[in-house]
Amino acid sequence: MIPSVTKNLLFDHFAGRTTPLQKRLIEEWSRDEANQETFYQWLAEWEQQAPLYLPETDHALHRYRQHMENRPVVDGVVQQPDQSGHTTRNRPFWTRWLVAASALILLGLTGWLYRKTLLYESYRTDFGETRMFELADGSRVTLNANSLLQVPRIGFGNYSREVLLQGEAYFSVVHTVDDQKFIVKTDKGVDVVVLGTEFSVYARSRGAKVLLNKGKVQVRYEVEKKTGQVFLKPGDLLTIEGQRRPNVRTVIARKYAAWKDHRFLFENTKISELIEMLADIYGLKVEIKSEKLANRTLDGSFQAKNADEFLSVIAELLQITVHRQGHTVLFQE
Amino acid sequence: MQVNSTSENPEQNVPQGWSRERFDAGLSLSAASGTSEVDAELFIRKAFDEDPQKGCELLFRLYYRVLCTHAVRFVYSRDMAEDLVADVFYTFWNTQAFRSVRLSYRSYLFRSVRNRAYNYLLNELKKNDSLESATQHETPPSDRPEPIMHFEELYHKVDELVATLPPQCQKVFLMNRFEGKKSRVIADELHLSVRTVEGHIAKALATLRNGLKDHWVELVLLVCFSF
Repeated sequence: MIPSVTKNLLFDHFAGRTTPLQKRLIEEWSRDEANQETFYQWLAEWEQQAPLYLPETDHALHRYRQHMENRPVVDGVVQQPDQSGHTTRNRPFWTRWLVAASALILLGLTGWLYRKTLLYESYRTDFGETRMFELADGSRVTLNANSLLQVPRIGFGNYSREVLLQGEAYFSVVHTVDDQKFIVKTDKGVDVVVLGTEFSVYARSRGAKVLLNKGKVQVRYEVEKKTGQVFLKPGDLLTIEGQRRPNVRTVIARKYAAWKDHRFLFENTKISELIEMLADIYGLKVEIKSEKLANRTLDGSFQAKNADEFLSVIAELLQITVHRQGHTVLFQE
Repeated sequence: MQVNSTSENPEQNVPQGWSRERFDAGLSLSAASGTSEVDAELFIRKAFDEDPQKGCELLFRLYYRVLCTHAVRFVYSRDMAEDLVADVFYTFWNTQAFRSVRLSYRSYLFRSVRNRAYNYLLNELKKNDSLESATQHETPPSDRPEPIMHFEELYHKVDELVATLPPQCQKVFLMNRFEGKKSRVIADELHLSVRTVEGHIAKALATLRNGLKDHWVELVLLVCFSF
């Protein structure tokens, strides 16, 4: 004769407090269909008494009601939800197609024209402005002046993380649980592929640069219709100019990412490089009258919040006079 | 909400001070005797005869909560549990399954939810997160060879595995899975880096996967031997 299973015993069982012998007893008992009924009845009661949380019913019920109303039962058969309208019955069938087709063409055309806007969310910085923001996956991007970053509105972080960059940006990429790649694409024939690290990418008219701060990145490039790839170590700076093969050298990483903090670091920097920088960041065109001045180099580190501050520091450092008129600047000894 | 990081059994996860609300349909599950449940089921059966939609709504009101709190013991995620239970109810309507329920609706619904949760975990081992794939392999409740007992063993095993996680890892895992918080939010709340948070989550999931894999091998063997 098997002792009967009590409610208390089952409650203990649900809570994981039964011995193997008691489990055996419950197992025997639950083979009987009537006892299974009791089993679920007490299970419901136990769940009611010791809930892990309190689910919100109203909203879920509302959705369930809608689900059922969209699928009415006719002669015992559930109807699939009907999306088409009922009002166009008396029009010739082809007008509907005509309307649909022209609407589709119009939609397609607008979509094509605005495809970038539709597909990508754009982050843009003005001359002299740097901005930091966070992407949906938690990765952070600091955009240097005069730059554009485009992030897909759909699918970013679902299977891959791809962004498009024009200009210069510093990336601090979060490593995802499923090891998703983060890819920075540029129109300079250089793509940077990473899992989670810190690096900066420069892609402007004169060429492309990738600087790695931490971790490891893979750079894919295309030069003269040939593709290749390079892996960078921390401190590596990769430069591609024109149609030449990429050049990798080790640099002081700080120097190349200092712009993030409105800081500028110069070490044996040519005035010509400085002029490029002024064009990139502030949109300024610099004219130099003397050959001698153009060949000088610059050392030092300073912070500047805007173009005028920058220019006045330069004037001090080089002991020159700087005249600015709108977007044109004149350097004179 | 506070999460108890040293919980060993599920009840300890219930935040203190939460009132235990009763159902609002005028039906109660927790009567002292078994008669009121029978009455509730009878009442619902009558409602089904008159208007099936009404019957489904009553069932939803009566069992949605307990089914969700039960499912969450298996899947450890409130969102996942609610989706799973809602899906059972949607299928219940789409297939008009209530017409062929021989015993109580309650046992039908509990069986369906437990089977789905079971299949979901089975799929989880294949590193597949979608609910769709869990439902694809679903068989009607009665065709299951697994005895009723194996379901309890399964969610106890899940609990056990979660309890073996180091405290911080467990806390992060519960915030992410159970409460459905994004890793960024958890990182801010616990003053951790997002990378650390994601590391904890990955570690917890791997522990569960590996632990369940072993458990499954045992279960399969058990089922094989019992025939």
